[in-house]
Amino acid sequence: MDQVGTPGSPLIELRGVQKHFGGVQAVRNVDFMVPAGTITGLAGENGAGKSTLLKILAGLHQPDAGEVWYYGELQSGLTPASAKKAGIAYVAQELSLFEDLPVSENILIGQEPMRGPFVDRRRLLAEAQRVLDLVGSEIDPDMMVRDLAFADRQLVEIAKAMVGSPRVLVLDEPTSGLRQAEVARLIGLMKDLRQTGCSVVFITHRMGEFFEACDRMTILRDGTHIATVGIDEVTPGEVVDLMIGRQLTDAFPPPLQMEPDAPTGDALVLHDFSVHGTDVASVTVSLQRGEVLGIAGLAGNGQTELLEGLAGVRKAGGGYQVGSVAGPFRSVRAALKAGVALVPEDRKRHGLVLAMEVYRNLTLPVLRTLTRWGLVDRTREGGLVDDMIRTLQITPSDPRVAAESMSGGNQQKVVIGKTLLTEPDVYLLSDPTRGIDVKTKFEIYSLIRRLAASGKAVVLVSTDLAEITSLCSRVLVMASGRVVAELSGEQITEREITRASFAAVAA
Amino acid sequence: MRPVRTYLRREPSVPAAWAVLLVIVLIWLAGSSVSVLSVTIMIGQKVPLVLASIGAAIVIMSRGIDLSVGAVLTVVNTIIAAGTAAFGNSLAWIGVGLAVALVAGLVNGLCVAWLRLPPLIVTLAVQSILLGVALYVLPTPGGAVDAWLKDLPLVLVGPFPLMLLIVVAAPLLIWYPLRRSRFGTALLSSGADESAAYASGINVRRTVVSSYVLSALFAGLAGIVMSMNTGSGDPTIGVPFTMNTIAAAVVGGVSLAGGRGTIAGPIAGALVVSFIGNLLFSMGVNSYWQYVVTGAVLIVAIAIPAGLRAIRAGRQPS
Repeated sequence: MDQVGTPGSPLIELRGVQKHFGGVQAVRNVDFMVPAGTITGLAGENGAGKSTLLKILAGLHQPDAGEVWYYGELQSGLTPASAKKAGIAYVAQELSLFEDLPVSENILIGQEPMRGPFVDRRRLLAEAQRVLDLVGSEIDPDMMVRDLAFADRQLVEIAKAMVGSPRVLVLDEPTSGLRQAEVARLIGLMKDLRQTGCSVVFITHRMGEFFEACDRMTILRDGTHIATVGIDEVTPGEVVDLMIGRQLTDAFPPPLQMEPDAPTGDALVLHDFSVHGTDVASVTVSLQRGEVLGIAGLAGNGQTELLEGLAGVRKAGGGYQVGSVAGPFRSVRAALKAGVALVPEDRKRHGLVLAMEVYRNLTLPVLRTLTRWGLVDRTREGGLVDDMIRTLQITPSDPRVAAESMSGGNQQKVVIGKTLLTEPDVYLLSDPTRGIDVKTKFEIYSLIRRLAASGKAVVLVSTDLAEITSLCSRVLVMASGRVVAELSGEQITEREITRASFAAVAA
Repeated sequence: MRPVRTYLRREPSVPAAWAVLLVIVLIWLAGSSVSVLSVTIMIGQKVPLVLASIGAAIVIMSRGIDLSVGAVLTVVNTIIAAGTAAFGNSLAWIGVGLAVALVAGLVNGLCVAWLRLPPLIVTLAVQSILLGVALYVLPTPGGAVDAWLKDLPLVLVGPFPLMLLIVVAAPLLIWYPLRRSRFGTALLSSGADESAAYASGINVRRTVVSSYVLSALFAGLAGIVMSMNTGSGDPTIGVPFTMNTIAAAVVGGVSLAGGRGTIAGPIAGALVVSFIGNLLFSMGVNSYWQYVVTGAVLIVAIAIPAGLRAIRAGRQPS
């Protein structure tokens, strides 16, 4: 092996690392190397294991198996603090700043310059100012993080990583919230670091940034290392092909014939629809009864926010018509009344009262219709619940089991059952099959087909592209809150969707 | 001027608490005759709550809660009083009392940070144990303290009564260095977001344990001052303290969700909480109305900064 520090020798090496969360294998037996003086891009679809790999590398996750080497030395019991001390600076995708501390203290947290037993305020401010200048930020280091806009917070995170002159800078989607000038500045900073023999590893949404900044790219798919290539050896199209690979398509039920008596016509019409407090704007689309509309795009580009705006979770504006009722709706209740129901993304937080029994969870939204003289009609309730458990094949079938003791897939069925009982015309499904097994997935897909055949309209947001391409008759691709492409028929392929998602470099 | 303005902008609760306090004190001064002696004694009565509230606030900043504050205070008080009555030498018994307090704080902290037990129940249990110990040490009110200890509060240091100096010095000597050391940042960050603090290289467990030990230290100091004030011990003296320390912290702008707070705030909060009683008493208000008004003033005191913050948040683009 080469000497430490000479160009090309590895600063960091991962050997055969594995990591699983619950039943999901996030990273499978991956080898990954960071040579000195390079910028490495990490590419892959949502859930390919990119972030998990970086977290293992930076000591935030302990791998289930495999080895982490820094500078040719095997590391064990790595923590964020020891990684940082070794010169590995990591910026997480989710911001980790403290809102009620000033920018300066956030930047130097855990490594404050000391004078005797006390923090040296003057040097603290000076060092904070130095790294803020490095990333080209003009924020006052005395400001509270609470008062900063999102892009500024992102810059503070990167500035924080620059403290103590790291040898390897690890950035998980650092550019997603940044303005274009700031992105250019950041790429400049990365190249400066490379000049000094340091290395950068980064993830981005935008294909263009890989080709602008990187020397080499590593592509992951389903937690597996697919390829590591020099940037001159590939084209953006080839990278996309490597990212999606071959997918199985027989995991999906075929479309059903429309029922003869199913209602037709517009189910939902949006004109210049926008969601307050998010960048979702100018969405114009009309959705037919019996149609399954897919909303695709890279995670965090406004898909969830759009659904929440439609369902009355977030305040929204613009034209919004559901049948004869005009939106936007001021509450979830109003949306339900108009026939629009959301199956939320995070079932543990928004979908279920985990400690409560299945039947109580199922009938929670329709309790009013089951109540006579202030008392719940338990006979009618029992009938509804039994029907639903049978229709959705919920197991265990005992309605008195607490929701928290069920598997994720069955919890998700209960959430969907809850929504079915309110009998909406428009179903908003936010990643309905995340983290559940193949068999349950198939059942949920069949249910979506049945809903469509009976004249309901379905809007499906999913991070699983195969799901979108197999179930949807039309697909909107979103980037930065805007619809950047509308695909239908033959155009609906993973390749096309991925191309549209990545093509949307912020204008 | 800029640091002051920055500070006011950051922590609207603190000036609000001091303003409420000022109003109460002014009304009280206008309605009663005061002398240096009566003011000194008055302040002396407030010191235990002020000290205990600082400790409680530190724990709340770490997103915990300490229900054992009043019991720690009581145990220290009864150990000093019973020990001195039996064997003399209050100074030695102050040492014993503080040692017991620190052990209690350590138990709280270890249970919360290492065993991950809920702080509400851990500190409730420790409170129960300590109250039992206090009753064993001193079954009925009584005991004694050395004469020098009893006279200490009224000793003049230059023109100032010692008590007044303790009020100023304790926070300055204990809290200010902590805030200016790494501990302050570690405390607020651990309380705000434990995993983000860990990811930033903060030793979260040690920080949380330290917060409970500090709380016990401040409660122990409060117990010593209490012994000075009363010249005796009482196994039930500290019970009403616990909830008042939490009220004082919240009135002083410490967030119960953790990660947010100062020390000037809880000091003002403690003084507000205890001066309301003085004011109402000197105005001749019925004792049952005193409870009602105290509750109402507390709600107003926390509503003002909450309102200010809401207005400020409304103006800010986010």
